[in-house]
Amino acid sequence: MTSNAVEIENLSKTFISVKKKAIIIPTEKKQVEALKSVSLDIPKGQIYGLLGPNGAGKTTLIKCLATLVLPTSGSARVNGYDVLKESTYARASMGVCQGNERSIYWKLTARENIIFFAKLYRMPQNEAKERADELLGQMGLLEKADTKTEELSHGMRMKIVFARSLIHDPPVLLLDEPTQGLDPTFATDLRHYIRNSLKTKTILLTTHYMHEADLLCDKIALINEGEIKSFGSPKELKEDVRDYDSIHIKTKGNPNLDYVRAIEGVMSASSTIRNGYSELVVTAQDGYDLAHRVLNLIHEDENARVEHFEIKEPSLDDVFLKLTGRRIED
Amino acid sequence: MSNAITDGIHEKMIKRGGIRAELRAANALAIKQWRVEFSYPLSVLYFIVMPFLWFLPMFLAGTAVAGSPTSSVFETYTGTTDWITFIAIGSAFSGLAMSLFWGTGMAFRREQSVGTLETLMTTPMKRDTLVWGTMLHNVQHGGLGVVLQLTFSVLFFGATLNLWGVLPALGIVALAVIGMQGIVFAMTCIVLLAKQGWMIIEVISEVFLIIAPISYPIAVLPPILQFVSLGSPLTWSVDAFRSFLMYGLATPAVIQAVVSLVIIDVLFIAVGSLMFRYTERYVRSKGALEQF
Amino acid sequence: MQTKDTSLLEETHRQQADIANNYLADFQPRMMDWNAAKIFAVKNLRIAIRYPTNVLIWGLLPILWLAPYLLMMTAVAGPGTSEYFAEVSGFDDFLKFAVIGWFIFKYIDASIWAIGNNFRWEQFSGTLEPLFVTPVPRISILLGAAFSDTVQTTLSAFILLFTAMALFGVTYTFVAIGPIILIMLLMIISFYGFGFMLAGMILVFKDPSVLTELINNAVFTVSPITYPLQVLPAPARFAAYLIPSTIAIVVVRELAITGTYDLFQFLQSVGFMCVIIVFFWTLGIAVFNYGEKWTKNRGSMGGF
Repeated sequence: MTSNAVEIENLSKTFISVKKKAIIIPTEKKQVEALKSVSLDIPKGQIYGLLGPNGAGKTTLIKCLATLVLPTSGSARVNGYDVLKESTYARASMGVCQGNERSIYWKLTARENIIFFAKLYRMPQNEAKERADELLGQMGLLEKADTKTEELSHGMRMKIVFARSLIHDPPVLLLDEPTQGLDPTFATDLRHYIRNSLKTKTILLTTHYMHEADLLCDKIALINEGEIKSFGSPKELKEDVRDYDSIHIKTKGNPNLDYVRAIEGVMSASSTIRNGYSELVVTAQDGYDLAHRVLNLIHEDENARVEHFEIKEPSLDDVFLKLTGRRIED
Repeated sequence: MSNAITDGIHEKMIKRGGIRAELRAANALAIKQWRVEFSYPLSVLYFIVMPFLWFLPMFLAGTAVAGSPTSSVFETYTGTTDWITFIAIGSAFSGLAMSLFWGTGMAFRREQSVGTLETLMTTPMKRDTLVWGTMLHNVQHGGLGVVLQLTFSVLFFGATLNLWGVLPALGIVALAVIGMQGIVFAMTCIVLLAKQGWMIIEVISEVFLIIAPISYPIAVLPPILQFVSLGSPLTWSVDAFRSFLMYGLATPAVIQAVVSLVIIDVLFIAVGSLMFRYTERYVRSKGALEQF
Repeated sequence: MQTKDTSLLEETHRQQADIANNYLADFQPRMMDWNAAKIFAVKNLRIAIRYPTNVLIWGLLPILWLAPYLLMMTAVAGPGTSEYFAEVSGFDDFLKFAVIGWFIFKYIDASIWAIGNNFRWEQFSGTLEPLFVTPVPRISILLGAAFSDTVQTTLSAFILLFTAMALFGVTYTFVAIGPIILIMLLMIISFYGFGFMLAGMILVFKDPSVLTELINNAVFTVSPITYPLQVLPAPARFAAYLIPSTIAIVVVRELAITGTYDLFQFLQSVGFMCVIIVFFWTLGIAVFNYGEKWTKNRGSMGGF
């Protein structure tokens, strides 16, 4: 038995759209390669993120795994089950949460929705009821359990959508933009829940939000035009594109720049004066290594006092930009 | 949000597979549909009044030409002068057929426009269970409509029913549902493939209803349509259903009707299921489940 | 250069401000914006032209609904006619009788489904809210929808009439075209009021398909479309006269089948139709305004 919960091997998907030129043929065929031979293994218990702009292929990949779209070639296994040949078992092994509040019945109450879906996950009535109460309790929705979904807020509906994906306690979760459109409090709640309460789950998450990927994911696949462009932990990805770090130091008074420049490893140092404060920018191969030496130096300088400092490293968006020439939020 | 206590839920679910699990899912779908329907306040009124409103214009049109509850012309075609009972039973049965054709045939479209189709497709139930579950609902819905309409017809319009025929008539309904389910699978394919599928469904269901002996015997149809009519499960089921309810157990030519119905059922359900299986795969390969 | 650019920019700004000021200065809220109605009708027709098969289908589909009645009547009374029918309706041929009834029913159907449900269709296409934020009285939008539906319905109704005439072998005497057109026009105008009323009700009841089905079936049942009014019980006959189409069906049928109509009775019918127009327009606008206010108070306009 493999230790990977999700295995994707050379998965490709080409959409062919046929456009009629006239009432009768000839027709025009247009091919779009949504996925180009994507391979990715997710070990059990890990959270992997798919990060990329609109139309990059994230949702197609999730849908192929969720058995909603048939791939053109390649294979994928979820919890050891082939999504093509053993699709029922594969579906039973995963919970899918698409960031779409319409994916539950608005005319039913929160509890009725969960009980209904629980039965589709083969639960008898009494177990389904218990499970609904348990999940709604976890989401803080017990008080609203008997309110029609159409009368709830967007955030509450999204919590029901999320709870529904957990009904059968699946080992694998596919979360497609789970916090999209949520207000910051709800989104933070949900991220906290994913990080802390779903530790044993294997999660594949797509998101637009870089800080979300940074916060939640053990590994991230940067995807663009149907291909995985780069893969690694958030830190590794940033390391790959980092040519240098910049240390930003805000001081009261002016430190002596010549002393700073003399420190071994400093590539450049410059300062600007703004509102009576000096803003010093020092660049170095490894900002973390150098920061304490620069700070000690300024500390000894009687003319200057450190007010604030930070080491700026590249964001995931910078990584993406360097790799593809596009920004994620394009 | 607190932590989950989930002991073996997933393992239990995996073990529970098989026909029972599919039946449970189908039943959940049927109940869900009732809840959705009854969440609209006017639905209850609609449910009660509609069977009445379907039959009334037929009754009035018949009255306008017959002038009395009996017709000797009608007897030459059907063997009975009681045109009201004949039409009342046929019209009640057509309510069930319409409920199946429309309610079930459009199930995919309805779930899609609500936004729940993809979610339903990610659950471990078989894909045709969605169609069977909706069918179950519509048999209950349409069946209650049949009961209501027949009750109205007896109470207000002077139709007479032979109660000995009720049980065998229910057997006919069971046989009829299988054949009609074949048609419904084919209709579902059309909904999945064609943008304005409802129009095609409307035409198909109306054609099936016109060539069936619902409010007239097929003898009044043009000869070519009479011939086509013999291949429809609706034709045999309406005839047998009505015969049982009019003549009780002494129904003439019932064996021929039942045998024909069984043969047509097997053909229709086999072709329909196959069509559905291939179409569903085709739609997924196009990735169009969301926007077919 | 710099100066010239700046002055040009200022000039443009001034012009824009003038346009805005003039627009606002000239802007007067209106009860009915005929221009908006026209624009809306043209928009609807433009969309309709892109789906030409719809008109054809809506012309042919009713034949599938009409045929069972004719076949049933044939089975009960024999082909074409019955003594009793001639006695109660005054016409020999029930096929001839019903086909012209269904021709007019097309307009009833359109006023209920297309005008009454117009906002529902706009909501489906996602354009309802943008329409509602324009400074145009909503009743004008409805009227525009009604115009375009009349054009489409007329095409469909004639497709239905000619196909049914060919299929069932019936003919009509089109000699009194003028009076027929006059009565039909009055009926269509009165249906607009009827449609406004339904649109108002649908805003309140939220559940358009059920309400529409109920109203459509009830109207169909009490109207003399397939059978004469005489077969209805007295209260239902009274209800039938409250529907704008009943008199029109009776008059148009007489004119189309016999080619003649008593002048005094004709003028009486025209007078009665005018009363119905005033009645339904007053009622329709009142119900619609009430419905609009009702939904605005509850803030449920977007998702009714």
